[in-house]
Amino acid sequence: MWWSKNRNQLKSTDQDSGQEFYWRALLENSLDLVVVLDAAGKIIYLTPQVKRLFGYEVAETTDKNISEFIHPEDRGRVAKTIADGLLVKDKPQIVEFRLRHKDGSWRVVEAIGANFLDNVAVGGLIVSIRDVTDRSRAEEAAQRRDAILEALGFAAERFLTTASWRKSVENLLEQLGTATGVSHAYVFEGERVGKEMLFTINYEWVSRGIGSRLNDPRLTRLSLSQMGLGRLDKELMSGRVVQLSVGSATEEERKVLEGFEVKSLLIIPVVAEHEPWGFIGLDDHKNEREWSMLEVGSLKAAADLLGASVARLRLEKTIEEERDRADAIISSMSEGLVVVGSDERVIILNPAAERMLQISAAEATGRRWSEVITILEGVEEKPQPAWPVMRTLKDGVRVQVELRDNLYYRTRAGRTFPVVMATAPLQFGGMNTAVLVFRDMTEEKKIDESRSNFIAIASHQLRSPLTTIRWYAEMLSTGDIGKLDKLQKEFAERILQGATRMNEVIKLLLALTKIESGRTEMELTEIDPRAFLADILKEMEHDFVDKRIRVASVIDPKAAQIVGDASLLRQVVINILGNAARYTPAEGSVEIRVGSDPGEVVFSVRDTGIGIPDADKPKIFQKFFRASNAMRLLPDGSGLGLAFAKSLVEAWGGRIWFESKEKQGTIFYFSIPLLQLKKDGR
Amino acid sequence: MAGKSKKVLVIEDDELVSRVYGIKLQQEGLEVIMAKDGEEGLQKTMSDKPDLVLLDLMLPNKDGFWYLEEISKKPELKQVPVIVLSNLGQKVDMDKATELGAKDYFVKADSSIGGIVDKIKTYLK
Repeated sequence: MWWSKNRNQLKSTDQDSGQEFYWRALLENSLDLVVVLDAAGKIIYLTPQVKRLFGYEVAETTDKNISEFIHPEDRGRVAKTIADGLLVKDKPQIVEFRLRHKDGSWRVVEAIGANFLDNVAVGGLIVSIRDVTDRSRAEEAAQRRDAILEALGFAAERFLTTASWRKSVENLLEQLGTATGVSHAYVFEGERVGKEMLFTINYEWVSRGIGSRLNDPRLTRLSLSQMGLGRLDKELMSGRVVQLSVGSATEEERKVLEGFEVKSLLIIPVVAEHEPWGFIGLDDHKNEREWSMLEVGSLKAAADLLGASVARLRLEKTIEEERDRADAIISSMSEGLVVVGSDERVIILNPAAERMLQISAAEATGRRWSEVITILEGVEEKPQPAWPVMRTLKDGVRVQVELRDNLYYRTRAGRTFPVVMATAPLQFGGMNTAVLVFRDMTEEKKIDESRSNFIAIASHQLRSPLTTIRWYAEMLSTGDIGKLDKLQKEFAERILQGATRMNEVIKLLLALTKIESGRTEMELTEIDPRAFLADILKEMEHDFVDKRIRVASVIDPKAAQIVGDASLLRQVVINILGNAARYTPAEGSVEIRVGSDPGEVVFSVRDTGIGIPDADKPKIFQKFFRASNAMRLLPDGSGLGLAFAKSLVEAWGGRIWFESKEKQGTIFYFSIPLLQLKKDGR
Repeated sequence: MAGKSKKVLVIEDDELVSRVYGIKLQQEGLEVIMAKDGEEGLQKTMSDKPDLVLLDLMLPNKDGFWYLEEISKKPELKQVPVIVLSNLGQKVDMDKATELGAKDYFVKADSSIGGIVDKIKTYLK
């Protein structure tokens, strides 16, 4: 036989020699290693490929039992295959196992064996061995990658669709655990305590026969560094992947691993919104493993997915909380809130609106807003296109309706009540809608009416006796009822002056009350400031001429036309000019300017008067307040003029302010917004 | 009817006020008739045919607005100029009175009696 050189005990015949050459040539040039074993597994013969494939010399392996080279874990399996092969003749058996290379590494081999024990020429088992390490790794990796990708895909889908976070994480772990063939797959959540993170195991998957660790107190709020895994902690916190095996671990780390019966672990940090959130890990309790880059990469992708879904979950939670808060506000607010779609149909109606409008949200939604209510202006029905909601829907404008606009809602059930409201455009569910907030003003209207009556009555009741005082004093002083001497006449005149002044104060007080209660009605007209000022200056001529005060007015051509309430504007100008005349010494000067600023017209009145002391400046617009120097100069002032002017200016949406230096003069400014608001709700 | 003095009807419940009108108007050579409320005012407007009416608005029983409304319903009385003299200084009241036919409107407390008499004289010319 062709191997008789090595094994002389084997029979050989001369006529076989031609065949022997043939076989030798075939076997020894094969890519695979061919081994002939006896029934006990002893190597009888092997081809020289053993050197190329596994690093051994032919001599050092011959006569050794093959099992010496087989991975201990695989020995049983191989032995079983051989035993099976012994029972079956001529039927090849295939087995995959790990064979030790001479350099100590394990090679994965595929062996095909056939029983030639009974063959006289062979008398053994012929085994062809092929190194499939690379193929096996590639296949395995591909399989695992597929499994992992599948797991990730599955998990991603779950994370995006499922409501249960726990179930999703557990599913992800199961997929990963199964795909990688580990014993334990888990997720730890971190909790920052000072500079350190404490980790708690919150989700896990365990393979068959492995116990759960979820309630292991050692894995609750654990500190990796205190545990002796400081290196892991550092790596994790800096976002790196950690691999640890018993074989390569430090003494301290090994103890920890053994304490958990772990041979190898792989930990991947989970980062959510750029902050460490926790980690996902895999333990192998059976084998020491080296994790391939592909696996690590795939697991990292799983960690990224986890991190992203944590972030998403947080966002969802925030949105949900916001929504809950908004819901709570909407349903608890005392104002009625209604959202009306571009088709003029009701989308939302809150409980307060349900109450006031006497309709349930269920009944109202889907109906046209005009079916839910009717709007009255005073007693007349207001045409629908002019309804605030309709205007908002049509033009995207905000509309504000106040009590003095005199609008009423009439419900389907027939209740009519005064309303104030505000509407604004709102993007809602991709639709242009109008949001309406309104309030039932029945009580306020009553109060308002009684206040209005009060103003009327008070003004009448105060003025009647004042009229008597005034007229009687007048008749005394003019001598209509008999001539008085000089002193008597002076006294009568004093009474008349006092009564006149008192009347002015009452008028101002009433006007102030009226403005402050929002009852000032504005009549907007176009005002030519030149004519307007000329008119006022003519009326006030004496105030200035008597003291020889020069008056100049400068009007910016751009402010040639103002839209405003002429009578209110007039009161403000007279008030400020009156002060300028009163508090400017003889021979002084007053300059009136009407300037145009972006969006507004600004009036200013500059005088060379006594000025306002710094200490008095903050209080100058307060009711009844008078600057100390003004009080010394003219003890009789009411202290209401500027308060009144301010109320008026603010009533039309303008501003009033001043600059002043004591003993040098004062400039008062006030503004009129250029686009005088059209009366909303009308 | 030359020399015959013109008649002024004063509808005013406040005697202190109507007394002043009385003195001042008589000094101007006018005949003054007094009424204390809207109803009496209407009667005297019909019976006495005044050349001018001075009307207060806040009156007991039938007030000044009522009077104005009644007058406006009677074509023969429509021609009599009515001057409102009231302490109701609100714009709504003034507008309402004017709408109902009042020729002029004075807030008593804001006016001097001399000024009012001057105005009356212009209406009587």
